Amino acid sequence: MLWLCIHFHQLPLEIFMTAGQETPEAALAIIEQHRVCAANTAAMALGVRVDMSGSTALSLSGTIKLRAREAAHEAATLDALADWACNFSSQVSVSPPDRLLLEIGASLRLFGGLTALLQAAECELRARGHRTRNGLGPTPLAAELLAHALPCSASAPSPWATDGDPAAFRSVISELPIHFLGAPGKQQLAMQRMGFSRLGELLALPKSALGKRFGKDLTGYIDRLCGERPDPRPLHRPREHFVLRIHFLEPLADTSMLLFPMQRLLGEMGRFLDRRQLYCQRLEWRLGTTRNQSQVLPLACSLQQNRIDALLGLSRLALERVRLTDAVDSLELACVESAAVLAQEGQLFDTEQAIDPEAERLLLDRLRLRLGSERVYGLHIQDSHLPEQAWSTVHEPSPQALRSASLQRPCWLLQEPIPLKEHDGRPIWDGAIELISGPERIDTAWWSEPQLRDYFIGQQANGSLLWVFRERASGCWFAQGVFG
Amino acid sequence: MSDASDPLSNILARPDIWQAGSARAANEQQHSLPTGHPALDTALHQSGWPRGALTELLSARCGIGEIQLLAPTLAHVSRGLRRIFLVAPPHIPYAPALQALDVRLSRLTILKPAGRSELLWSLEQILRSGTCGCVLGWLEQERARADYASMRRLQIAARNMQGPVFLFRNPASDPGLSPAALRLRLEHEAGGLAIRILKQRGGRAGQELLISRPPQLLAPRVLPALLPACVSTQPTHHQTSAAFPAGILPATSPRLPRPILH
Repeated sequence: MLWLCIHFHQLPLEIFMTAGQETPEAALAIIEQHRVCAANTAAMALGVRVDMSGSTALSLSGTIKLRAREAAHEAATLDALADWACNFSSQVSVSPPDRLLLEIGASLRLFGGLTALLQAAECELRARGHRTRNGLGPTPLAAELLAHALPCSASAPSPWATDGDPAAFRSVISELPIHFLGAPGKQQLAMQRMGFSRLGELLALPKSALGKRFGKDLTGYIDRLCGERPDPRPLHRPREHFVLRIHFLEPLADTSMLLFPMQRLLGEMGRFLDRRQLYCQRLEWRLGTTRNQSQVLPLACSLQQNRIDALLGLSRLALERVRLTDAVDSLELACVESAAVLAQEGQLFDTEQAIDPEAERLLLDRLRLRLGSERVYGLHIQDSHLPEQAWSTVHEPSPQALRSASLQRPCWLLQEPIPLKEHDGRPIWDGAIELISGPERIDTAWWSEPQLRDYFIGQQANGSLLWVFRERASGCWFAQGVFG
Repeated sequence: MSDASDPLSNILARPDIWQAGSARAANEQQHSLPTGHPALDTALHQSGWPRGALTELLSARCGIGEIQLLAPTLAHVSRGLRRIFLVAPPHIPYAPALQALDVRLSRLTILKPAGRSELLWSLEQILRSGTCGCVLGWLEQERARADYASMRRLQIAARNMQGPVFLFRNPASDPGLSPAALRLRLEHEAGGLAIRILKQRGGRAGQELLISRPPQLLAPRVLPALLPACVSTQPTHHQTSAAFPAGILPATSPRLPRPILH
């Protein structure tokens, strides 16, 4: 067993990002209970220290930005990082608030050795804008302790880990100063008074004497540290649904500035979905504004492949329709619906019949997004004798059985039947309409509103062929269709 | 001429060399789609609608047989896998009538853009994606007129298409200058639709022909003198249903056409 502990020691800072850069350049300090709990290098250079009060930090320089700590967001980010860590190990556990534990002993051969694995992990984390301290140990606790006390990296891995010698590990541990144990202050003081300064001196004592003096907690800790007692950790279960949020250091007032973070979030989602062989059907952009209101941008995508460039294009189109009422200070992407990717069959020869179904779906998505989905539709035939009820619109037309049509029907139906004046027994519309054929009587809907109509084909003076009817009950003429 | 080393035949074999008056080359079939009207096919120098280029149809009003002109093309394209887009049609495309014209409704998609810019944007997107089989767009309304620059954009976008693109425009706003590959003027004439070829790329223009209406549409079946009498002597609806239950209407006069009951 070889455990890797990744310690995100700057996580409270790293969850904030500016729209254009991976890490904030401006001096930033995170405040928890009126005290600074983390500060970036720019703030450190100005003299900000951890545990300083917020007002003292502000008095050092007016340019320092103070932000309240977002513990919930940190936990969500750590969860997302644990999902990412599943690329490297089948045993990943989250150790709150800011550590991940990976059992990498079983993955070394796959990655071609410890150095290669650490390099790959460090490289991907750096691309995400995270700085970490790594520790390697034969037990989870040892890895955590060493990440804190003796951080290692791909360029300088722990010497004991490369040859995996437990004796070497014990000698490393023995050399650690006693305060790395993290024992309560009272015990710490007692240990110092008893003359202990290194961990090895403590380990050399008999367990029972140590237990009597410092309690069972300490002996249990040492047993777990040295692997003499099991230390089960809860396994991380990868999330089923993708949700990720970015907080902005500076609120954004312009939608075009959202494109860069959108691209980054979509990239994360693409990797998430690729791992599960899924594709996104519906996603939501949630723009959190400075007034704690959120604006939701739903996006439907009928592509059956995971295509981030297409999703970015659709998002850009959706963003064009958005009017921002307030500045945006957080952006969340949620994949609401997803489905399993199916293998696509291509065609060997480029014939006229060969079409790219993905391109067609993308086109329809774009049109629906810009015009609104109610303005893009197909036609469907309904069973009704009343002409205006013999058809309906459908979102996506499906094949219908052909039925014999012996009756003359016009290609164009008017939105509403237009009432016509009558002269000498003939309907008039731009001059008298000459009735050519008819009547075809339609007598239907006797169960609700009886409709009794005599339909004629008539020709206008200018040559247009119209479909007109005379309502028997009222004797009025109406034009209902045009023979195109 | 069959000798490959002959410089002239080498030049003539180039795809961008067009021979006036020559027999229609076999590859021209790939650039056109038969219209379904033999007389029109003969008049068109590519013997069909141009593919991947704009076809302008100038007609002052609808109802003169313009859909009937395109019906064979629509039916043919709808039998394939590709879609047909109807962009901003002037009225409701009536599904039963289209089905009677052998157009498969499952291939039809109708767009109702809200304004001129949306209309031109949608057309351009559709043409650029090149995935559909045929596009019909109506640019005839006052608020939807396209100027030369936007027509040029559409013409360039249409190069991605494999099927024909039909744009209906109003002759009243016709500047006479258009990048379209084929321009036809449609007018009503007694008995059918009069077509005049205003422009065809690479071919002679000016031909006129007439496409007649289907005979069953124009066959007179109403005696005009009979109609007012027939209307006035018929009992009203309520009396009818009382006198003839179960919806049976007798043919009261042998000269009166028998109504079709549903």
